[in-house]
Amino acid sequence: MAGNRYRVLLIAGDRTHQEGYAAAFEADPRAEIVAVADEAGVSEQRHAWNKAMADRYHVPYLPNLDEALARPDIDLISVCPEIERRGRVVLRCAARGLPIFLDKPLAGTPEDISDIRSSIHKAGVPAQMYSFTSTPWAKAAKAAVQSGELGDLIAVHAEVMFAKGRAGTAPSGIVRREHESPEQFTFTEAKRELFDLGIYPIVLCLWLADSPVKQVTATTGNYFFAEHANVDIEDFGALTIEFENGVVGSAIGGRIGFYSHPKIGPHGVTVSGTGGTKSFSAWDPRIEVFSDEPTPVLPTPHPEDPMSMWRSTQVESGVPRKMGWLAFEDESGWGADEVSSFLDCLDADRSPDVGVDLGAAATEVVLAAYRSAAIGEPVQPG
Amino acid sequence: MTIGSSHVQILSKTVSTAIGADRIGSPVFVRWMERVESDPVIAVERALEIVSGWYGSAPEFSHQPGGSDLQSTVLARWPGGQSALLIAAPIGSMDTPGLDLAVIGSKGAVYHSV
Repeated sequence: MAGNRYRVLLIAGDRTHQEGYAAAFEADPRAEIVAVADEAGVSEQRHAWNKAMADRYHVPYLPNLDEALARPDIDLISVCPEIERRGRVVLRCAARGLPIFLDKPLAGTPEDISDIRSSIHKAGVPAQMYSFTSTPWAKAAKAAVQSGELGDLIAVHAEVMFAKGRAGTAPSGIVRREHESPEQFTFTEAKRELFDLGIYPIVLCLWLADSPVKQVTATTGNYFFAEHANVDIEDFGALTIEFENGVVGSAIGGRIGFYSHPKIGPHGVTVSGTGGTKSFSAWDPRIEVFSDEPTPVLPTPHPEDPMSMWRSTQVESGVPRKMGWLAFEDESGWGADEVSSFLDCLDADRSPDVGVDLGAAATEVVLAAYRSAAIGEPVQPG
Repeated sequence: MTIGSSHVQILSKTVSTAIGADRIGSPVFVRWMERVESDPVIAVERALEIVSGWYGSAPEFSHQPGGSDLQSTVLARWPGGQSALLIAAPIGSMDTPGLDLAVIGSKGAVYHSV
């Protein structure tokens, strides 16, 4: 560390979740972004997006991952390449022997998940996968479970639905059939939403239930968006998770459209014990404001990001912030809280809540959910 | 004990009206989270019947995990591709039965919390 600050190397730049992670590292006084890097031979477009992030933070772009990792002036690596090349990139980063902040989900294949887990264990480095466990509502749910006020935990439900994108364009009358093993994850116009958003509630379920998973049963659909239908991926998924300790979990993840929620979508956790049930919503407590202010209108979709996946394109296209509901604890801090929690763990030499093992287990649940949705039966993860 | 039948009947009809008026597009997913004093299985069966009414048919697939008898959870899918997650969970001794409902449509949503 230089001057008690973690010098952060960012792997992959704009048009990835690194946009949010970089902003969070930049905002934390304990961290300092020193460079953006990536594999040699990435596409020209990826190169340009990486360089754009480097330019924005006034740091060099290093287009050779090995040379970047060999630099002595880094203390922490934030790894965010596309899912398809995430396995091999994380392996190389783990070998550097520095703490790693991992994008979610961990990877797209069982082999990559296993390799990432093994490499991080072998290197013995702290690692944290991005999740929602640092949000106020998730922490409140965890505290309720740990306090024992609900008795013995019997069920946990978590949901993260994003009210983004222009819904109502999916072709009607077509029932999408899921595939057992998704092969492609990176598209310009859409994402696999069970994978990308479903990972949040799945992590929350695993974190709260604190037990190995016995089996997963899932459904997926293409309910809302033509963009998803055009590339044959789901925009919504729901699943049950049966834990070995008897707890029943359930999770919902999907993208439901800009106009389908007064904020950015239903986000919350419900925990049930032998002594009662408590729900924790991202939007409670809140005030609700009604006035003659203009109603937020979804602008013309960004041609390179019609689903409003990236913070840069949301700003470019002018996606408005909905202000009718004002939660007491604002959602704009969630990303920064998650990064800060990782730095807190490093400072205190403490294990993160969502380390590589929980991240891997949750990602295995996602992959099991695809298999279950495809065959219509419960599936054991792993 | 679950939430009152009259409340559920009016709710079912009101949601049907919103759907029938095409205010949310086609209903595609329902999350029914009911807090019950007893009879969670009955509550979920009732919810399944109501949701089937909104979707216009019976489910073609449903899965009910085991676990504690104090709760009941059902994941279901309908022939038109719609799905639902129906949960009934126990209330504490000082609480009253309630419902947190989300009916997600292809271009809008209905929420109800009591």
